[in-house]
Amino acid sequence: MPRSGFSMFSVRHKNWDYGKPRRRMASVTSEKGVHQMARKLSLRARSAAVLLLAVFTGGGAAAGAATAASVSQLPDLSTASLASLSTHDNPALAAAVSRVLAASDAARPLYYGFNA
Amino acid sequence: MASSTLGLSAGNVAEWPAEQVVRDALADSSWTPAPFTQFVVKVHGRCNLSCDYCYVYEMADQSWRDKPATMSAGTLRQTAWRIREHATAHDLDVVDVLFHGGEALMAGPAYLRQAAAVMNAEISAASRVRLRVQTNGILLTERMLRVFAAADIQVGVSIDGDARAHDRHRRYANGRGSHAAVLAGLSRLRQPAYKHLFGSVYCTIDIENDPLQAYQALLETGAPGMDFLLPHGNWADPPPGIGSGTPYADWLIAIFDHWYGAPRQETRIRTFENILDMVLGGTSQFGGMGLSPVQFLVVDTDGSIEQVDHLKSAFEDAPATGLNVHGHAFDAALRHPGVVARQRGLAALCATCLSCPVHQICGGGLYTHRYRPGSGFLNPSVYCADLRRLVEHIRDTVCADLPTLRERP
Repeated sequence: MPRSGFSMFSVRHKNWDYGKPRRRMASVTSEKGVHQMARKLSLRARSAAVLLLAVFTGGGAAAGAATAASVSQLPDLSTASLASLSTHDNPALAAAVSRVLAASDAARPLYYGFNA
Repeated sequence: MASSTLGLSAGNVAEWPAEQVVRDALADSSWTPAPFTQFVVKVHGRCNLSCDYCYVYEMADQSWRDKPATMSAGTLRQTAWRIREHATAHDLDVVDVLFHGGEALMAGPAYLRQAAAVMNAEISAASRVRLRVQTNGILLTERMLRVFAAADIQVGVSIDGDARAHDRHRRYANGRGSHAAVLAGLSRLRQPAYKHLFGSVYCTIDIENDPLQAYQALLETGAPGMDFLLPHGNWADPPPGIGSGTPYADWLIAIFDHWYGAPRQETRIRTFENILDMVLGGTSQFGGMGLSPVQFLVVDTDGSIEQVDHLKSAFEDAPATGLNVHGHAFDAALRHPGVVARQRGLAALCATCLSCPVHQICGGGLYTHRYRPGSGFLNPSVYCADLRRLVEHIRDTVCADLPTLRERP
């Protein structure tokens, strides 16, 4: 189980500071974006950024190096990235991807029960 | 007016949130209150069980003693009218009405048939109505289920696991366990004529119970969904085991790892799905975690409008707003400090929470669990360590899993 840890950078995330749009980070899905971010980070987070680069660019060697590091940040998943993911072998994760994609602004919190 | 309407504790010490929270919110041009979309209607204020962890009867608030046992027909109609008023004012597409208690089924099938009819007749002119009921399962008779089927009322049932686990706490007043009676009710609910009404089962966590055995027992009920609830407590009245490691996270993680790793999804588990969704960038779907505004309200048997019923675990009159359906629109509750606090997201988190790497997902946990006498609710959760461990575990599990996702061909 990878160790969790404090992330040195915040990733783009859809959760709101309610009432205010969250300030968007520069995309880290581009190679330039990743390396710019990495210069500001600790070695641990830099390894994780390389891992993200590997995920989205297929950099096998980089991924191999990065897997030894802890994965401590939230995945940087744009809607397009999420939508491009095929059905995962893991049904719980696949279902979560489907829910996130299907959720609209009208999705509301529940106290009991589930959305129909 | 109840002291809690002024942000005061039972000891009249000013606690957070107070009126300044409302003033700050109203001064924030980017914030508007979120309308209520879910209404917990307490049709019956007594219960046929004597569960020792019950927040209604066994904790700080004892206001049930001064309220009618059953919601009167007049109060029921007025509540329905208020919901319609609110739905119309805010152009709501859907509202959820949850019949609750005490034990809602003690109101009887005829009452609940009428209650459903009143809600549908009044509210449907403005909005689609989804009716639900939460019950201990003991009074799920054939007659009751026929009423639910006719009115399309979804059923949620409380059960804490197998007989040994369940009967630790969920007993009759004479000490006898209730598990067998609950199983009988669930068996009737699973019949083909009624199984479409089966919503979820809810288990209150006891860390002395084996988590996987509890999960298996809930799975065997045949419910399409379930959740595991943290027992209510706070910094003045902490739940069992708090302060020594992360027993609740460990308990939940045992179930998560089993559920997440299953080759096919065996059931839906609300808390886990909620965290998974937020890790992937979605929004919180229930008020126990995340930063989404809480949009439900409680109407007690006397028509009093309350914030959330499990605040009763904090102090006397904690849920009270001083409002009543006979004199106030639900919009008035949107200006109550406690309601505003639960709709302000990050602005309602303490400094400790804001410095935490998982606060966007945790959201400070359930509001009720943050209470500390003297400071009120501007604290981390009494479950802080457990929540952080659980969120980080799920986050790290997902992050480790993502690189193996295949690209769409």
